[in-house]
Amino acid sequence: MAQAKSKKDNILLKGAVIFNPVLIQLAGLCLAAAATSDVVTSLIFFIVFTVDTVVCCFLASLLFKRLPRWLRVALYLIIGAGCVFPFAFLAEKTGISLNARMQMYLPLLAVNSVTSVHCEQFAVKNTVGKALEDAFAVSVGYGAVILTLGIVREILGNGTFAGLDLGLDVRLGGLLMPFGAFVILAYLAMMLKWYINKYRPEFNEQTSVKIRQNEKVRRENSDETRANTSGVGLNRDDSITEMEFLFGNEPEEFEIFTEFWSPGVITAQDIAADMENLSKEHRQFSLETDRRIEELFANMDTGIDFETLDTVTGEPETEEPAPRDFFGGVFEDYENAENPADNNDGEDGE
Amino acid sequence: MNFFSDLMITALYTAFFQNLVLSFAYGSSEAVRISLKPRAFGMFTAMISGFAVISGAICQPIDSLPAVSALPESVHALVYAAVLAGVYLITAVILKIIFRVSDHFLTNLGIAALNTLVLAIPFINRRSAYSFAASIGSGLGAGVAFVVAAALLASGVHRLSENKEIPQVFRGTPVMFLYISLLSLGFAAFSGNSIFS
Repeated sequence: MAQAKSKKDNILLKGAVIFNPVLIQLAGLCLAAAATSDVVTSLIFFIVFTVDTVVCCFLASLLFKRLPRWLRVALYLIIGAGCVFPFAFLAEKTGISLNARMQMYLPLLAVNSVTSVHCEQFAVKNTVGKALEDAFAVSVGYGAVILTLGIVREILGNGTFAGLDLGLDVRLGGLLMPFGAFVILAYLAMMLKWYINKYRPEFNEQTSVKIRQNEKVRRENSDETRANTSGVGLNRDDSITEMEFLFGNEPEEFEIFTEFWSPGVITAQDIAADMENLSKEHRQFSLETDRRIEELFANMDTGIDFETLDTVTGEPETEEPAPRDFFGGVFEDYENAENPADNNDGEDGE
Repeated sequence: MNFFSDLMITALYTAFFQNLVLSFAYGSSEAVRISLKPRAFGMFTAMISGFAVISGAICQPIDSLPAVSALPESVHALVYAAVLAGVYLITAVILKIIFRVSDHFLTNLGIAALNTLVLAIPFINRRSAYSFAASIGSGLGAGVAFVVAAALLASGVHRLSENKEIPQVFRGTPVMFLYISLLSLGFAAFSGNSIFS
């Protein structure tokens, strides 16, 4: 019981805090940065986001496991639009104070990357219960970030809280622009990183953004370092690298790596190593099973001659069995049977 | 001539003066993600531009119908989402059946098609009352804006990852957010807004 509770806490802690969708996985940045300029809007976005994520994860886990991934992503958009539409319609009809810009951002929740990432990386690979727990945890994590952004931006940028004037003399209008949101996000990410470093160091490696380079680049860089340290080489020309970035011809391959978001670059060597480990385990298991069966039969005296035992009927074989077809019938039957088409000859014509 | 000039002016405005990714954060998650995979720039940008142009070109005539233009804003959102989903599914099915592309390619196609940047284009076209030519220009500009943002991010992320002078707690996502904020501030300068009001 205590173990189950701890496991549940673990999913909540991981989804909401350790692998925060915005601060660690860098997903859902558009809405977090642009749409959270006041508390009320942030709260509305949090509610709609939660409904969208929970419904998408539930359906993904329940129904979409067998569908191809390219089809699932379109279904997330359709479900998202279906979830967001009633809220947008209601907000419009009841006159909830969504300003013109917010009215445009609310429908964009239908294509938010947090929901599709968690549906793809977690929901379709787990049970409905776990998918719902993850969806709830992610919603809490995302909600915490956008509510914090909404509160800080409204107070410092507008001098109000939920529309009430706080009478502040200095107002930082820049905080209401996406630029301000990214600055606040940077400090929130820094605080989260400090917390992980200090209290959960076991997740330090998994939550850090890594830029991975392939083997060729690693070799090139180490050669370059050697040349630089010996004083005979020069740094690589950065302008060429930028041109190569733009035209996609450079040999570098980077991949962001976090536990949920992306599996990172999987090389042929990684797959070969995994296969090797699996086949070793399989061989060991087979050998152990054979040994135990032999041991068991060695200690038994059943009086059955296993050499002549028919494996289908369990009776000792008396003669060579007739070959069987896929459905269990005997091939001889087909050879002797009359062709049904022959019996119909002439009937159609009558 | 008018068609072409409308298209070009809107494209340049959307791409450089009103960079949708850095000024308004549309598609910023995808830009950050793709900035870490520079080899995919060309293909991904072409996909985003293509979907933005097609969805804008389809939604603009639909919006101009009198029966549709009178509908509430939320219904327009539903129409845009349906158009985008339809365009994506038709493209994916054609590529899958005729060109037999891999599932990996189709997954990238999905990320390029179904994001906030592409879905925002019909909204922007409607709010700005763009003509058909300007709508296409807006889609093209969104694609160029995306590649500008992703190229700037890729270049910066590369340098930041090698900088050993950044304090430990700021390394990784915090410094990346600060870098994006500076780029965003740079493009916000074109908007004429004041930082201190």
